[in-house]
Parts: sequence; structure tokens; C-alpha cells
Amino acid sequence: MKLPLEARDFGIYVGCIAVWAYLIALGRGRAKGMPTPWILVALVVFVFSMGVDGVNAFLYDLHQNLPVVPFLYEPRLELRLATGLLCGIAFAGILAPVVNYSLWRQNDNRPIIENWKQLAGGLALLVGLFAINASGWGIFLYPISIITAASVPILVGLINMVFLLSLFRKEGAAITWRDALDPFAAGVFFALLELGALSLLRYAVLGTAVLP
Amino acid sequence: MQPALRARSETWLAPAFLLALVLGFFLAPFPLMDKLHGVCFGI
Repeated sequence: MKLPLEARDFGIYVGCIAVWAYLIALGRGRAKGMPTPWILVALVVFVFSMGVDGVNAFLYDLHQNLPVVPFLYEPRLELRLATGLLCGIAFAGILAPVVNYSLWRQNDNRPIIENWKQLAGGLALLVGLFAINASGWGIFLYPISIITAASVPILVGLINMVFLLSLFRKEGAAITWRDALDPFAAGVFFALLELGALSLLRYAVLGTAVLP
Repeated sequence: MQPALRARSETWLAPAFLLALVLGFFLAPFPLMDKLHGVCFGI
């Protein structure tokens, strides 16, 4: 049975949410600073690696009909998952400070990822996610599927929240987690509308639906 | 609406919305895996 998201998207969404939760567990849930410069460079390289793998997969698909189109290597599911997960940790490292800056009043200006040890901890988490996803063990199917499906409205909702806070000039207002719930719920509300619109668009194009 | 009453309703709006969302999702009369795939259908 398939997971709700394909390998690359699973890596991006679940990887991002998992690393974000890890950063909160490290006590950096309100840190507003971008990662230190060399760690930021590493995160950009992670995003770039996902981009290279994605473009190569696209070229490979084109190559099937147009043999003149070159590609670097035959796409592999493991590589798709691994580069997606690397992109997930990069998104967490870049997006979390933006969200924290928009949301929290507390002036925690520490970098969200301050040293290589913290980055290694996040990468270790990704290795665990990779193993769970690649194992195909049935015991993980439902928990991982629920986390995967939840990660989509949560992540899109957080991005919406940043726009809403900026639009209504409510940045830096939250003091407690309860304060954060109001803008987050608004972000999730708009995420549902956006995901619904995307689903309708996909249904219009492909003509298939999951639910009857 | 009186200010006190409005403030109290606003306090509960976000948690009630999120709770209703989760409950509505799990109580919807479709197989769980179909619902999970449905959330991600547009991605």
C-alpha cells in the first residue's frame, strides 16, 4: 500500500516537520536567527541536490520519448527520498526562523541551527525516517501515513500564517503557545482552501479522485 | 455581542476549529487510508 505522498514529497514535508519538532525539542522553538553561514550553505546545497535529482528525473522521462534529451543517471527511488529529506531539513532550517520572527514577541536571536552537532542530530533523524520509509514495514504504515497527511496542512498553514501576520501587521505578538494557536488556525483554514483548490484542479486535469 | 462574551468566544474559536477539524476527519465515513490520501491529493 502506498503512502499519501510520493518519496520526494514525503521527504520534504515529513522531513521538515520532523526536524522542526527536533529543533523545538532542543529548546530552539522560538529562535529567530538564520543558521550560521556555513550551515546555511550546507542547507542550500541540500536544496540544490533535490533540484538536480528532480531535473534529472524530468530529463529521464523526456528521454523515453525523445532519445536526444540527455540525462545524468537513471532515477532511483532511494535517491529521490534521500534528496527530498535533505530538502526537508533545509526548509526547516530556513523557514523556522521566518515563522518565529513573524510569530513570537520573545527576542531569541540565536541561530536556529547553531553548530554542526545540531545539524548532525537533524540528519540522524532523517536517516531514521529514510529507514522507516524504505523498510516498507506494515507496522509503520498507519502512523507514518497519518504524520505524512498531517504534515501537509501544518506546513502550508505555517506559511499562510506568516503571510497573514504580515498582512494584518500582527508580527511578533505571540507570547505563549496558546497565543500562537489563533494565527496558526487561520493559516490552516486557508491551507484547506488552497489544498481543496489544488485537488479540484488535479481532478479536473486527471479526472480521478481518492474518495468516492 | 457584549465585549466579554465576544472575547470568550474568540478565545475558543481557534482550538475549537482545530479540534473540529481533527474529529471531523477521523469521524468522516470513509476508509482512513482514503482520507489520508485525500488530504494530499492536490500535492
